[in-house]
Amino acid sequence: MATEPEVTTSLFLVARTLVRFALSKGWTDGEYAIYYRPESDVDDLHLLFVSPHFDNIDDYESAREVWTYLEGELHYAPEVLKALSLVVRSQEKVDQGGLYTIGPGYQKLWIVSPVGSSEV
Amino acid sequence: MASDFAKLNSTITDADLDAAWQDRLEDATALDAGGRHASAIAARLYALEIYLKFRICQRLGIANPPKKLEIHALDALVLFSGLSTALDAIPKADAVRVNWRNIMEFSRDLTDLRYRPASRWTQQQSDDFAHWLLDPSTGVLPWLQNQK
Repeated sequence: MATEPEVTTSLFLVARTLVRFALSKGWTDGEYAIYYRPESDVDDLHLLFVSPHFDNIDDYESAREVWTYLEGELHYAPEVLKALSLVVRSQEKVDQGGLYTIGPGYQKLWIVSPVGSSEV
Repeated sequence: MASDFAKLNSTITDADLDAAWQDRLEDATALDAGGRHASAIAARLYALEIYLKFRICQRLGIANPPKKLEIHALDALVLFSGLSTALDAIPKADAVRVNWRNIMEFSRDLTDLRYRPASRWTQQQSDDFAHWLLDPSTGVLPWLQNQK
């Protein structure tokens, strides 16, 4: 059974990489959001990555771009990538609700970085 | 007397399951035609669940599904059908894997589907779910059917 710190470490490793992805695109803090399932386990991590910048882009293309970035950045942590279930979604679809509703099992993840820091 | 884990549901056969998953897909088409998109999505989700239970019967060589597997968790059903390793081997960015994650995530939080008005669900969303599940080249169900 994984300990809570192990799960938290993996979650934040992925989340910080997603933040770097957003920064690499020039997105500001309010232009993307990361959600996670609190009951995630170290071998079963669930995250949603939502942004209006994915609007009008083919869902598979968005997913491919994010996954390619993650696999490049986290090549040293294959166990984290293996455990990760990440859904990439446009803000437009999330706003539709229905099939694209962010379920009650998810919570928004807030990542606080020092003011003026480029390190995430 | 069979232990709890060995008990089978003798009221349902593998042939029932094999017919039922296809029936649920036909139900979904009829529901969409009637503008009942939430129920159409639910019917397609049932079809996947029932198909996996059929595959479990096939894998185990039994004519009735195990009572212990009267569950709805798709990841567990894939595991017991013997297909999880093959699914895990698909690259994460592959469209089949993206579709599987979309369906999995949706299936975990069905509160909206069960308890919210049907007006929240559109034809486009039902089409999207049908694509995730049934697209001949990237759909989850055709992929499962192609696995031995």
